[in-house]
Amino acid sequence: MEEIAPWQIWLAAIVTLGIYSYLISDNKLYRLLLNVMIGLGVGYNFIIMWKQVLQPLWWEPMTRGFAAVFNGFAPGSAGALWVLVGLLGTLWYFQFSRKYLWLSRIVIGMTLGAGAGVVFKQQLLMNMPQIADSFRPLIARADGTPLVGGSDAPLSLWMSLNNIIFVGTIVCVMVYFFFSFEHKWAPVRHTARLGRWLLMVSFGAFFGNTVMTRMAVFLERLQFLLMDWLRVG
Amino acid sequence: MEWLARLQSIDRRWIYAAIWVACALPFVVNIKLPVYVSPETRRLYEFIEKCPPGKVILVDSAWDAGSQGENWGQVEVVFEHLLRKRIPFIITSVEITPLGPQFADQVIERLVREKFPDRKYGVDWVNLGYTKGSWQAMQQIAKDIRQQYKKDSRGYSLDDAEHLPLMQRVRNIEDIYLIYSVTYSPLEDWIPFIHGVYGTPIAFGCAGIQSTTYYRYLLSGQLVGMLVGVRGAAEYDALLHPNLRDRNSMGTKLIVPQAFGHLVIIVAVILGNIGYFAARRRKG
Repeated sequence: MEEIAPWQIWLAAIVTLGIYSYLISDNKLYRLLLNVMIGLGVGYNFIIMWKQVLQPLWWEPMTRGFAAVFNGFAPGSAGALWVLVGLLGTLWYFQFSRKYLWLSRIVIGMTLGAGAGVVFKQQLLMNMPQIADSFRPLIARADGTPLVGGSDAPLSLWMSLNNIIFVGTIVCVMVYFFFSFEHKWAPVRHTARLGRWLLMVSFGAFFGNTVMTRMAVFLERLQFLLMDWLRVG
Repeated sequence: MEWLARLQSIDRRWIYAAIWVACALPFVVNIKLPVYVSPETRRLYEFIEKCPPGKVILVDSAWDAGSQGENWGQVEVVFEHLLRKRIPFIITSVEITPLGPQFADQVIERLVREKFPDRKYGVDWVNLGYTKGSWQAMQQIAKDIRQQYKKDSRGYSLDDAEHLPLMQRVRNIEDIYLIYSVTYSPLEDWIPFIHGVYGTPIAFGCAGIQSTTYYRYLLSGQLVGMLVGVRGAAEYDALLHPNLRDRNSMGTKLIVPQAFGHLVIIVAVILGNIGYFAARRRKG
């Protein structure tokens, strides 16, 4: 990898400070840099998409297929059928035409059909182990197996407490989400209220992690400004 | 009480300034703090330690400038581990960002230049570049990697034994020991379509904000490990380098300023609450 030239570091520092100028107030430099960044991203994505995805996986097999067809249907002629995939993809663009909008519905229908089938498999394989994992012994051995019919591991109070909290939380939160009847009966009401509090705890964890992530984004830039640009520290 | 009530309306720019100063301090004055290694980080480290010979690790490095504060450190430490143990690995970026492979190149080339000058591209690692398609690409990689990638990011054919000897022994998912997906928010499709179907172990390196939703996969065993934000990177660096002075990864560099920044936020939250209760008491 080539060393980064000083002018590149200066440019990056000016752009970084220009973006951070938004913290003081919205301004023209910030908006200019934002537009430049979006333009660069779109341009780069377009080139990479062509060079690393469409060209090797679609264009090259298709052109080789046509070459074989024009060569008297030599082996590999089937590659020319890739043109159909391109035509199908083109149907998306009829979204922009009121007259031929119906053509885009063909490809939308195919996408929805495939998506529905895949989601079924995805949800099953992703969530079934979760559901199975929810059934935990309340009195557990150190390796998580139940006291009766489990392994030879010793009884673990810590593991048991862990499982009681885990199962208790699931039950409380599920009761909170029973909306089909009013929570009048005291045990249901109290369980639902506890479920709400437990949800609040999880939202707190989300918020704390959000702060951590935002801070990391800022720190990486601060490190660049102080160590690479100003050469402090 | 009047001044206490004003605490809840501090100009946000003062808070920004305080965060700038607090976070900059550890960069100027070299401060290092010990790191407690969490179980999810240790599990990933130990899993990689057990990689049998002949297997490779697939690193889905799908991150760019937007999340490099967290993801740079997460790939840096794992790459260092793999290069140190000479476990071959393949880099790609599935679906999320075309810039991912380029950023991974920057990380690995710095590591090779500074620590592992004898490691070679094509032998110890290969960068296959970006590919489109989430679950479709994953299934194709699992069945036949050559159906999804014709060339690597440098333009060599995957069948080019001279430049890519590593790829000559990688055909499909059976050759892959672990898939490590590093991005702001890793694609959950790895879990059902690869772990669920083929049983291949999966690990994530993710932004802290996303980690809350992924912990359930650790509990159920669908993930073998996870690096969470800067913390995860610093913890992994601690496992790689037990001596505090030997650590110099991005995660270790950012973890102390992050602690200082968090302190400012905690103080700001406390002050805001004092202001809130003071204002409520004043109203009666």
